[in-house]
Amino acid sequence: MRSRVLLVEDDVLLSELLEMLLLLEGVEVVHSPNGSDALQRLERGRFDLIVLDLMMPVLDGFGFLEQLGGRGAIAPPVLVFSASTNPEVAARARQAGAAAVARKPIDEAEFVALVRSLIGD
Amino acid sequence: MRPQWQVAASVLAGALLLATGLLIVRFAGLLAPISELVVLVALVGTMAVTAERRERDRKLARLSDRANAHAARNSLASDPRGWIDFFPAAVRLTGVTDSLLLEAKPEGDFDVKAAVGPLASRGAAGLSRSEDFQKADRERPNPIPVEAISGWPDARLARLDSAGEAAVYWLYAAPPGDDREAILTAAERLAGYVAQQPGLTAEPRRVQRRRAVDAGLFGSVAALMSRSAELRSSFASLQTATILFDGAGIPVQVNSSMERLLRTAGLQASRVTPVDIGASLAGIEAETAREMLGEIVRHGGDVRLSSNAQIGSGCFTLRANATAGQLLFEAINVTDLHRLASIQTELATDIDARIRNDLAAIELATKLAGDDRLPADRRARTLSMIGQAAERTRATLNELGRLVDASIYANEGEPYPVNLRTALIQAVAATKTARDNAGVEIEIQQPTLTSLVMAEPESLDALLQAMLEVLLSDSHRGTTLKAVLGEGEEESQLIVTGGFGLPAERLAALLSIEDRSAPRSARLLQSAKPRVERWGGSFEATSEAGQGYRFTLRLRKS
Repeated sequence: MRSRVLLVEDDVLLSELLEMLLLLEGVEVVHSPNGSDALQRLERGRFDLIVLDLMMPVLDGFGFLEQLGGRGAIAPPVLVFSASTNPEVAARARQAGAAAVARKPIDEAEFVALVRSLIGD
Repeated sequence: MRPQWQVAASVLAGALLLATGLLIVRFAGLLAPISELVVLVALVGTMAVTAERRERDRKLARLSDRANAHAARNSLASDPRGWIDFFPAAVRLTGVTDSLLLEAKPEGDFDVKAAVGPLASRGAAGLSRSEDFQKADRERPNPIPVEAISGWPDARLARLDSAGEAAVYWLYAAPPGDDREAILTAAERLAGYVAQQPGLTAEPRRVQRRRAVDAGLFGSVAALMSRSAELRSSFASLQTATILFDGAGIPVQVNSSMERLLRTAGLQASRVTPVDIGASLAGIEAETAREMLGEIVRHGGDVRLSSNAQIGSGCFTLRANATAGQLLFEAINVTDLHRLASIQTELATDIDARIRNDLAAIELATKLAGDDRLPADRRARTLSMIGQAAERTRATLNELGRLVDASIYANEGEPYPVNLRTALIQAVAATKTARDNAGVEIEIQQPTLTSLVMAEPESLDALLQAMLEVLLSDSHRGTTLKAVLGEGEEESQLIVTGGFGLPAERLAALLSIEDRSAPRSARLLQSAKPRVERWGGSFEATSEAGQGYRFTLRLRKS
């Protein structure tokens, strides 16, 4: 069965590029433009990994992590993908439940390696 | 000019006048007796000497009045112990060159409370045993001539306090010369005044409200304020803390914001000195503060002591302005501006991230466009994504350009008198890291220029620094840039030359406002011409490939 990734990112251009990149790795990608929409999609489907941007409208990455943690159910691992250079942001994301934090701009090899490791390939 | 030379000049002028008259008279056939001419010449000389002496006496009387006014105004009124602080300054106003303020201890020797002048370092050895001392002790408060104190020729001694167990004495000497008697008279008046104050040696009894500033001082402040719209508005503003010092370095006016600020820094407004402001508020070394302030007091103008002084929980820009020997400090609360700067930093970080993301997206899309594993429609899509990312980058850069333009012209104040030489020296100092990295020196020529020019100080600082940085970044290691100051009747100019030099058209393009890719220093120069023209000056940049640059800044004299 193909691995499924929920890509929570409001930048359509970047989202589409990441989808193509993951497609080459044999991963199926479902897009979500914000945290609130992503929570609803999680209710409806199975995902092996969540790739999460932090700065988004409606419900941002931290809000999403908080609500995800409060649900009690077993959730897929979360790879936070952030442009922030502040180490406190990464620490806060880990504390909120992120399994790993990757820096924007995208480093193709690092990103693919992290996705592979988190979905258990 | 020395008095004897003035007399000689007057005599010579009189003689020439009379010789001319004589020539006319001779032609008229009426030869006046020589003896009458000699009397006339002598009369002219005598009148000149009398006028000179009268003017000197008036000047010394004014100094004496000012000394007494200082004594009356602050420290004595509010704190009987304050005389220790104000007294040396008041003494300087009288013209006394050497002064020692002594407090007799019960055991018989003295505590030196304040010392002025080279003789003061010798102390007052043997004073208590001398006849003069005994006489001064009896005949207070009149100053008496002192003859028996070693190292104090022709000094005078006065007992200043009229009551109290611990007596206070003032030992002083006036320089020899025509002014000596007038100086001694001024000092005597000061001693007489101080001696009339009650309880000089008593402990502070109560803190009295400070007296209102007298009309003369108010006039001085008003005159100073009227010279600069910026200073006037600064003084009126509650956000701006200001303190004004007179020529003797004594605080004569302070607003409540500055009093609060000084208290926060552990200083007292009545006792603070200009160097304290530089050292304690601006955080610069006392000796450096002394040099910087001395420089502007001598030549006039403006100096920024700190743009980021942390005082209490606030952040302040500290600036000093000297006009007619008076020194005005202003501390502008820039805490909010710094918050704004932090927002700007976040904004810059965001813009930086957006540009990097788009560039990374272009790179990734380019790779994916050539990856055969992707379906053809997806690969075609990556090509349009490259265009989208490039367009987004262009939009972000335009946004950045607008922000830069807004910040360049933001807070552009009205021009006021600035010391171009001091500003240049500061700008050269600010480029130390760039000079060290480039291995290039900067030589200032004609450094005696003292005229003030019209400019907005902060913008002038930035402009001068930008001029130097552009040349430093484009110079051979081991070379020297030249900064030549000069002045004409109506304007002063600075010509900076050196560097490799770009072709003229390339420099013109670099300094065009359209070139968003230019480095920051060049961007500042892009806006230099219209800005300097607003001050009534001009800015010109020329260059020839391999022959170097020439930046010419002309500023209107104030």
